[in-house]
Amino acid sequence: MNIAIKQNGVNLFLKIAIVVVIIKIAWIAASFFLPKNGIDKISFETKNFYDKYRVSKAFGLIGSAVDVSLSSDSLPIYKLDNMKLQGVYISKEQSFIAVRDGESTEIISKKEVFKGYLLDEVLPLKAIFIKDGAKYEISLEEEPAKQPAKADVMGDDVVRFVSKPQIQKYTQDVRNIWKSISIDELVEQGKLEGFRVTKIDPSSVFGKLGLQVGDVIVGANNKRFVSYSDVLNLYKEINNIDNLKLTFIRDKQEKELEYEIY
Amino acid sequence: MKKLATILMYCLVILVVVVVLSPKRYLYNFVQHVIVQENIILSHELTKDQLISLEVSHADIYVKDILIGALNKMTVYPFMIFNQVTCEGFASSKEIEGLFSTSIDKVSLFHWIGQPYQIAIKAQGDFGLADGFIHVRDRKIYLKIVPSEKFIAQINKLDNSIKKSEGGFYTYEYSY
Repeated sequence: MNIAIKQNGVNLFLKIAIVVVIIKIAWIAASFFLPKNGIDKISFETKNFYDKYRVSKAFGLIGSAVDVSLSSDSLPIYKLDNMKLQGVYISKEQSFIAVRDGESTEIISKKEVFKGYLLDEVLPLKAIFIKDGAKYEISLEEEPAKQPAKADVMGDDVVRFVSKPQIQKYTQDVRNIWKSISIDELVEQGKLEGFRVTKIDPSSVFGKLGLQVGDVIVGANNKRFVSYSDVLNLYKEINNIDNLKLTFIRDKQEKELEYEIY
Repeated sequence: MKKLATILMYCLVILVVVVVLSPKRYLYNFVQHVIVQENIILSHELTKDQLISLEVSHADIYVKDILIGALNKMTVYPFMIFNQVTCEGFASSKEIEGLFSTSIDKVSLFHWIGQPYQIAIKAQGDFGLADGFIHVRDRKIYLKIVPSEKFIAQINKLDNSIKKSEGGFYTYEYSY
């Protein structure tokens, strides 16, 4: 009787041992087809240039005849009451303003001296002069909201204007972005190539920015979008930057749109 | 009846042996190679083979190259007939600060061969409670979220995949 029980126990042990060995061999065989290593993210530092980019530098308008000490931000700013700013024109080639001085209207180019005042900066809504180590500004009388629309009717080579409140409207509620524009990522051979505009509301800010359905946005501020982090960095910095240049492909040609954020 | 019980017993023994002897780390590596195609990477994690599970700790989670957060601990139970992954202690990263930030206490993913294309999800954290599934074949994620106040405060930072439903909960539907 005892011998029979022992025999059964040995048989059971042998059966289990055989099963264990077979399964182990099967797993060893399977291991040859399984990856030996996992995947780690290789981090690399990408410097964020978004806050350093200046459209004015791209125009080549800075650094020629300007005394750096005079263009310092620390100079006091006064209002000029004896002149009225009637119009502003900013383009890649040149910027100038129309100023009402008494009965006459004068056109003054950037860096030109008018009545002893050096026209130092031309901004979407105001102009800054420098005289005797002090800054003087004159402002447009129009409402700020009207200004971007004026810029929109100019050609593609102009700087377009977007107000910071308009930007904040989108950053504070991301859903507003997707109501106005739809984009799809464009990935080729596993590599991010850009973002294709698939829908755009022409009446929205995005519609007025100059983008069209089919455009593929490939970079911003002279930096290619090589990863989604680049886009996230731009999104995070958008409230702090003053100038934005979007690079995109339209009709197989690379184009650029430039914006002043004021 | 006795024969059926014996067969079940053998099956159970075989299953236990299969689980215990499985190269869990290699299987985990295989899963990593699968999910990287969906732009998800678990990086810099430590793995520890246990008798019936694999313990993964201190994993940085990247989605589409963006570090979205760090996971303190994840336990994988590869029981073949049913598989479970339990994640504990997720905190969103500084990189997505300004977007939706959250900490998740626990996430459970559950899969069994009866529904081979569906992975059930349950999660709880400072965002509230979530319950739903991933449909692998249809490539869809569906979640029903019972929101917390923090979630509602940040709802405008999420895209239109999140929709408010009747009864005070939110639904999240995403096709990938």
